[in-house]
Amino acid sequence: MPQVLDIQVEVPDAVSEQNLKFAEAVARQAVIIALQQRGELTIREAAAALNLTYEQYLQILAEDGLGLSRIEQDQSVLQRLRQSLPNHFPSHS
Amino acid sequence: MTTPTVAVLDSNGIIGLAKANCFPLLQHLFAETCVPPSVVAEITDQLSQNALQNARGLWLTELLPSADALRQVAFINQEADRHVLALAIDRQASIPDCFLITGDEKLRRRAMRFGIASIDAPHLIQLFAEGGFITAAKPHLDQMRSLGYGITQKVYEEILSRLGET
Repeated sequence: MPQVLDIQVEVPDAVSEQNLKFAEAVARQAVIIALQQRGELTIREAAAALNLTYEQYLQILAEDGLGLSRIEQDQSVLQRLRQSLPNHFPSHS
Repeated sequence: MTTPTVAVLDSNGIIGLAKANCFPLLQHLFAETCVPPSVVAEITDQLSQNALQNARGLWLTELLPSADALRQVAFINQEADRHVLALAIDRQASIPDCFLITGDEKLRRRAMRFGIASIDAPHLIQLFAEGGFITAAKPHLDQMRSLGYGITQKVYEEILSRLGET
């Protein structure tokens, strides 16, 4: 069974229905991006949850100044690739 | 001596490298490069489509994953996620030095459980610069960012610092 994230925020009575809906959509997007950035959702799962295409989702990340994830690239992978081409990466072999 | 390596491409790797104008350089880093049709199908950006079209049949192979590999990842709900990982499992069986080209963290973790390493597009740009395939990484990273491929300031600065670029 999927979990449900229920966030309750108190807002002034005067906030319009239209702005409440807008804020709800922004919050929903922020939750999905946060989960994707931490590796809880794939990019495709996040895009599908927001009814976006893969490319539209990447565009949103770029507009928000985010990378594809918050987790750093494993540097040992770069080292393995350097070692596979010693002619191009002689100092690393 | 050169060790044979294989790259299995995810969409964000294709899009990132196409935006950096570095997609064809993959053929210099990997002995074999392949992509599942479900990944190709979700790419609509013109730059990336052109990059794929120019490579297909020359140094890039479109391959369907085997039924056996698909069974191993049947728990994954998005078809292209399933196919890209299953294809990497297939190719790793032939060439152990198999790399998934993606910056998708959840996919990277899943690949790691099958012993498959991953690398993202910005760090491939770093390797292209280190290996002398491009003269500098900065113009390519800047172009990726300006065309809508997100690279955090931290990663951007780290790559340029490692390369001695400012």
